[in-house]
Amino acid sequence: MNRNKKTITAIISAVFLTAALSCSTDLFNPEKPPQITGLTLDRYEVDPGDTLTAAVTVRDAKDKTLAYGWTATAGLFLLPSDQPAVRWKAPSTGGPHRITVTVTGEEKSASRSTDVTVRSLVLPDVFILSPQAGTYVVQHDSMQVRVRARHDNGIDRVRLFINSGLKKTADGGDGEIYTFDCPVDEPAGNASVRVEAVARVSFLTKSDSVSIHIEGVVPGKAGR
Amino acid sequence: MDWPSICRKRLRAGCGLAALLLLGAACELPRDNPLDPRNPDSRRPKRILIEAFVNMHTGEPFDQYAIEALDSLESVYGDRIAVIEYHRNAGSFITPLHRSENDILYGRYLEAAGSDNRGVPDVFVDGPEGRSQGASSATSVFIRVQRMLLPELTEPGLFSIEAVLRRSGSEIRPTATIARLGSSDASGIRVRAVLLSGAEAAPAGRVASGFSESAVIGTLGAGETRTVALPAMACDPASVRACVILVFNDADQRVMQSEKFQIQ
Repeated sequence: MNRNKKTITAIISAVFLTAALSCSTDLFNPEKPPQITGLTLDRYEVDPGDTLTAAVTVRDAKDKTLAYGWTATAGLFLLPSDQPAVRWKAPSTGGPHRITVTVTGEEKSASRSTDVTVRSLVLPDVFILSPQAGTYVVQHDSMQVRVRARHDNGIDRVRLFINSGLKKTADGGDGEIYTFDCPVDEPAGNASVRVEAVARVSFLTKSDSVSIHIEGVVPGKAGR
Repeated sequence: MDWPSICRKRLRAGCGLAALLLLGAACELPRDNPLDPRNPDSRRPKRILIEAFVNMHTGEPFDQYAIEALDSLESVYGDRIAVIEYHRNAGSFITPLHRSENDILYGRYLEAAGSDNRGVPDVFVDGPEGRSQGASSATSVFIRVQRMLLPELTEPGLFSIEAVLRRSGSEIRPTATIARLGSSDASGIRVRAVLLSGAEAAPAGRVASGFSESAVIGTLGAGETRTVALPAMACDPASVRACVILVFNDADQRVMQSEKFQIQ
């Protein structure tokens, strides 16, 4: 009789212990977000309207039920767009864009992004703000040339020419305004100020120019 | 007509005249003459001073362009402008018309303009603010100077300058009477005189050949008149042609009025 009691108690204890262990696993080992190990594109530079493939890899993806959500700053994803590998169609305008994937497990999610450049086939926009056409500039003095240059892919460099001689080069920056201070050493008379802007990625080039008058001076210090 | 009636008639006329004079003295005359300094709306046409620092011995045509442009400006604007040529050495180019006072004035103008770019030709309109340096043709100088001149010509002249030039041998001693026109006071005012001569290299008779030290006027109230005896200036009686007297602001060297007086 006592022996039966002991057996029953042992079985009940084992059942309770199993249940307790199962509860403690949920409490102390919560679900981890999916671990994204890679996000790759088959091309990182495309023309407007081109299609590329984006693929994400997740650790132990086979053992889990995962959902894939894709977003981009422009362009669109071809259906089906809820897979680990999708097709993205670039927008019709150039510029830098970002593709982001969000992988969601049962409760938690993880994201990763990558950049793609859409080549703009439009020429850079370049305009000489100053000097204006017909400006009189004093020989041997310093002339300031202000230029506005922009392109969807950014500006690689801006180059300043007086007549046909290269005077200065500026690397492309974040802003659109480029300022050059250069000495005027050309002979007196009419002269051409030309500015050339080169786009990043496509290296397409466009120029703007104005005609100025260089006023001749014989330099000399006072009292000499 | 008998004598007594003639006398009576003259007496009546005399009394009438005296009454008219008394009436005139009693009533304040309206000050509506634009040349009357006591009139708050008084003004005179402003005479613009064009000062050109040049050197005709550089071997370059630039200064000749400037001189030709000044000739054209004089023929177009006549008495509305007064032109002075200050010939100065530039680098290694020496001119016999150089005067140390020319360089002192040039340095003062450049300092006021905040520039260190010395060179000829260099033309100033009413002081250092209106500057046109260099030349590529007579037309370019004419256009550039005219651009500065036109707005100045529309400005009212708020000073009048009268002068008496006393000549004694090879000296000229100007006495200038300056009046402040309009309704506002002016301060920091100075006056100076420049003698102009002709020269073989500069036949227009605009070459600065004599200078007076500037005299301080200081503050001149609206409607106030001040007479200043300027120091004597040495001159060559054979070549001296005119005297320019100019009123300028001591702080920024801006010329506020100028007048040109011919010397016979």
